[in-house]
Amino acid sequence: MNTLVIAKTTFGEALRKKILNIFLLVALALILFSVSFAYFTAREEMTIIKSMGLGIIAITGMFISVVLGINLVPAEIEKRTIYTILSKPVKRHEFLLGKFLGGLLTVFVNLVLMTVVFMITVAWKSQWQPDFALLKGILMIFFQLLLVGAAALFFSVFTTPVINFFLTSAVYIVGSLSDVTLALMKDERQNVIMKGFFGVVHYLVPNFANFFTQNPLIHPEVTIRNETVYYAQNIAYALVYTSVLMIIAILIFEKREM
Amino acid sequence: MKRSAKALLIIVVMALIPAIVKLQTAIDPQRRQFQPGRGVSAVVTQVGNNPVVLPSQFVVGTIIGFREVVAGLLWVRANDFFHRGNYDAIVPLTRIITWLDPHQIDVYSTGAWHLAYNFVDHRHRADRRYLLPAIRFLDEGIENNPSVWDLYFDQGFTMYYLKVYDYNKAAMWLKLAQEKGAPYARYTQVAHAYAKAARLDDATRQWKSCIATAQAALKKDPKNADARHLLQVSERNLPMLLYRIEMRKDLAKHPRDVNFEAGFERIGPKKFRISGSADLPDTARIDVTLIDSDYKEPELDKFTWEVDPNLTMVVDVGIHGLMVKDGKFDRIYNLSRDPKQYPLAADPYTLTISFDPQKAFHDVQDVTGWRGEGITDKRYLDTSSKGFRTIRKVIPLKREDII
Repeated sequence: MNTLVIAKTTFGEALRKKILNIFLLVALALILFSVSFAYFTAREEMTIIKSMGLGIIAITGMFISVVLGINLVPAEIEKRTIYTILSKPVKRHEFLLGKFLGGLLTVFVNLVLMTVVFMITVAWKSQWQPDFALLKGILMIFFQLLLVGAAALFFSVFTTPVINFFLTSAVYIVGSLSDVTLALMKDERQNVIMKGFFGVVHYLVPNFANFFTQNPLIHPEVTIRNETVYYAQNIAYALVYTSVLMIIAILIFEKREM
Repeated sequence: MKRSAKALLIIVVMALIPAIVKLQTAIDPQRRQFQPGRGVSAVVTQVGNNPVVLPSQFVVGTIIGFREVVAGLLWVRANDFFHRGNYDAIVPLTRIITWLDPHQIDVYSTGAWHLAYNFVDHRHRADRRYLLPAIRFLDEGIENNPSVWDLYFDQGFTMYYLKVYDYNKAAMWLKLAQEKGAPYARYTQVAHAYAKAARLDDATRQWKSCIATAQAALKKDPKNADARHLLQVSERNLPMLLYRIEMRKDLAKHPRDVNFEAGFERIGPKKFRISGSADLPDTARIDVTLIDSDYKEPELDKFTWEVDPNLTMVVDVGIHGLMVKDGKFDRIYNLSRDPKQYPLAADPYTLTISFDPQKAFHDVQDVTGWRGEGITDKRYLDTSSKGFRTIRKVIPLKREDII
């Protein structure tokens, strides 16, 4: 119950943050702007609109997740409100989970708003034929952002927001380069130590690249095998990894001196 | 938090880490179909002797997984280059775009067309050295998008039918396009290619098949405009083809002596005149090629826009050939204005002046036949191409003869 109250409060606070609203407005404007490439063939135009729309949603969502995630706990410590909250019958893990869920709800609402504009834009450019398959891409973006948010919150329990920003961004970039780490891990020219290193990076750093599924959505003529299995595995991956990050964050936060 | 709860959480974490590894191991092999292309390695790479580097502003987007967005933006930029006439900039862009996203059909299609058609000299004569790269580029597009009919059609029509004049290959690709789901309007082109290849039985069958297909579609939906159009076109073309077969059947009995003659005359530095005479109907076209004598078509397994900068290929064939009027043909070539396209660096050259009935218009073929069965020539008849008769005069030239 405490967790939900904190989540609700966090969500309310997040909605009042100007920077997040600016991100959202810029994203919505960019999605609408993507239709200005009207001098291509119909197929090219849709490819550009869909790819840009999904890309804008993913990048904006990532920024919102990071900016929100890195400030959730430090802001409470800085404003000293955390002492008031924890002096009440609220356990630390409830506080942390509440913060995470509040942040996640904020990201979700932003994602829904962007998705609505995006879907209307696509439908508008396709003689009002909505392309619901694109929602699969949005679903993957949501689970990617779940993981981004968890990573940001995880770092926020033991670092400052500035350091956290760079840490989360670095993890995001490394996690997005997993085709490189996978290739290096399997590269016969690498020695055993380097192969092992890239293996650890590949399997243990959150693999954000798993969630880049936009290509077949942009090109519907492409045939995909076992699509549902892939999406299910990605969702399971995001949930399991988020659980691990949250548990470790709770364990660290429990020990932290306030 | 109690110690026991903490211990339990640690155990849960320890148990979940192998689950993460297992899930990742299951995801890895499937990712390729969701993330095709070269990915991050498309940022910097080597094509031929040239490094291809992705503009820096697009690198971050590529690295963090927004390849399709970057590909889309690069295509916007390529379009801008096209309208500004900066053609040289477009080709490397098409290369990078298709490495980032190999499902960009229009980039393959437009890129290949651009290579084959838009690098031209001052007389708008295409730089023939780019033709093979264009074909290979489409091959690559087809390999990456085997179920999309468009690229098969482009290969058949834009390349082999209109540019290479290899009607057998054109028919093969066009038929594949039809099988891959091309719209009805494209079916007719298969029949035309068969007719050009002098495969008259195949052409007849194709027209009949078009009629049957259209009738079946109209039975299902009488308002199907595409089917109606196919039916109308096919019902007009089939009797026309049968009429031509009947009309041309006896051409071989009395072949017409073309009495072909052609000559080369240097009129200035890198400037020369090709002229001659042929007893052919007006509008017949005489093919002219001037190519390095030691030229052999390169084995170009993969696409590269690298062309041999020392190779000279003047190719005026098919519709671009010299038009016969009142039995004569004549054209002045000035290669001095396009040294990049015509480096004239080799020695010697082979000048070929020829007439190929396969490439001729219907009214000319009414005299020559599909295979040239209606023509002969005392001096220059060439029957080396099995089943076809062409007129061909080869003139060896030294470099000094031209420059």
